[in-house]
Amino acid sequence: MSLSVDVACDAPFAIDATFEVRRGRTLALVGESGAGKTTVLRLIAGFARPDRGRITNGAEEWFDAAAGIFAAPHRRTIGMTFSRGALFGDMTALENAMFGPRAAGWAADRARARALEALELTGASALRDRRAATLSAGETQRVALARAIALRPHVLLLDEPLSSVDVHARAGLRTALSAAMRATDAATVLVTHDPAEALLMADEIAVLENGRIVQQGSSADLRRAPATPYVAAFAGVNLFTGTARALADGTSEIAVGDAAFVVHGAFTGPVALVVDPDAVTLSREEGATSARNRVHGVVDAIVPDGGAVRVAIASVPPIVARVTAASAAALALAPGVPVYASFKAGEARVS
Amino acid sequence: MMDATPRGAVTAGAQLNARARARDLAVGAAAIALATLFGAFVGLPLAALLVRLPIAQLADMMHQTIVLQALRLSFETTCAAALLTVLGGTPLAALLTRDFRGRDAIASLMTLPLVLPPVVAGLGLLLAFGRAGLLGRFLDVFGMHVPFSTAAVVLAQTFVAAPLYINAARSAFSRTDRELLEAAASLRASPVYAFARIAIPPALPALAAGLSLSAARGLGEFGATITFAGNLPGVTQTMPLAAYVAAQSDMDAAVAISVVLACASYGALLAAGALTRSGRQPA
Repeated sequence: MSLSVDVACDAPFAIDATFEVRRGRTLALVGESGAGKTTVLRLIAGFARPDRGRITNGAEEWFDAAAGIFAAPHRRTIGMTFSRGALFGDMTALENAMFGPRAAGWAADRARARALEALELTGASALRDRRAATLSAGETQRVALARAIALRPHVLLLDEPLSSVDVHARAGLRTALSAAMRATDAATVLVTHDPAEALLMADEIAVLENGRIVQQGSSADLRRAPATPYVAAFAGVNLFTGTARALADGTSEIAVGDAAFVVHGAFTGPVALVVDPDAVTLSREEGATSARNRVHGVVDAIVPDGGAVRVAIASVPPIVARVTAASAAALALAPGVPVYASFKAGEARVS
Repeated sequence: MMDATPRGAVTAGAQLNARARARDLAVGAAAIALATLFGAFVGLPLAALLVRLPIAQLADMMHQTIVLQALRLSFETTCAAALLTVLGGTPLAALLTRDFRGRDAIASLMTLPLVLPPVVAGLGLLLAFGRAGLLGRFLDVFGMHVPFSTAAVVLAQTFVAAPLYINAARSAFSRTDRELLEAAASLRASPVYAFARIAIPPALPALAAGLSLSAARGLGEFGATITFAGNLPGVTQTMPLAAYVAAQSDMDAAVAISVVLACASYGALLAAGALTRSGRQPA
């Protein structure tokens, strides 16, 4: 059973996307804002009609341009979350989660039981009697997720579930999202512009640029042979996960395995850390820079990337630096050469 | 001590200030005078009705058959018209919030009865539902005669007054967040279910306010009613018609009916205003 999408539109802007997601798997649909990510999601949901193509979910045919088939949104077994939440503000969290089962004609007590189960799964049980309009962005997304999975849809469409959420709440919400995806065993399409979100939660990544999918594959595939500069930048980031502890001077220390990195801002608990390879500098001696974060290891691989080279270092944790060919030559970098890689606290983005 | 401002400048400034203040006062006084005059112009006829109200005989007056009949008929027809308006006007207003070609033309057409001379409305109704009318000739076959019946009164009131409700509903529905309707659709809600659960609850105060206004307009309906439904006591003679008839023979009765009508309409307007205000407050 899988969700199979092949859609093309000419207006309001051109879309051409083809992909398949098996149940239990997650595809991240990534791209810059305006690339058409949300539009593709809306086409799958049935809020708009593609000009050409076909959308099927297992044996269910949701759209077929050639056959003139178009299933209305409420006939498609989807669960969807919206970037701004789109909760029903005057209803409580529980009433929001009950909406789907009630709309599907379930009796109130059965709908209630299922809604409570869904809220439990997304860690939103304590919010059940709160009016949705009074919830924070993170709480809103938890309730929205519970609402989306209450009917155990076979297709889960998540539109930027973390973008409006405070970084402090993101790790917890990522855990809730993963739990929800596992529990529903749905084919999930996750729209995001955040590499951390895509790399941590998706099995596969499809990159949209100007409405077209320019590349699709695992994060390793995308890193190995990026089709465009955007793909290279997106998939090529250094991503670390660890546990943060706020320090007294307005910075935080993040324990990543045996290493520890310092970042600006006060963070506590599990976080993801994104460091652009361009922000990583290399040196042969230990004290060459004032950057607070430093790892040591031997060069693992050197790959040309535009006018620069990507240097993968077998440090703990492993890190990738992007340096000019000239400085690579000056440092006499070659596989097996020991180097220090460092980056400033201000260059690391907590997500 | 140093005085930075020359003495003459202070005096000139003060004079300028005094002149400006005098001008402001004059403009303010003129505005208040005009407003008072206009208020009196509107209030005077209403006051005259109250002054002329035969309070001593009021109880007897209200028991006259003509008054009682008209009172009952007006109440019944207004309620029936309100029911028709809600039943047909709500879905119409809902559909008119969607985007489609010709929407604005249809919306304007649905508002037209509001500004049409009521006699023209009555004539149109007669030519549509009358014995030889467009639809009436078919109704006639089944033995249904709409004109000059109580049903005609209800149709006339609905035709003329419904736009007030429809426009209020349209404006309330247009404030619905589309994304919420989409969220509902993603949760298996049919368009009708989604609309009933998501769009209607926040619109209820505005709908009630619009209904109050349209009921007040329907209650006062005269021209279309007398043209299409006639003036038959107990059958089509509503309060406005009864007041008109009474005014030619029994001034006391005419005044009594008029005061009752005015009070009922005033009540409906007050209710509409209160409902509108309550709807604007954040829930």
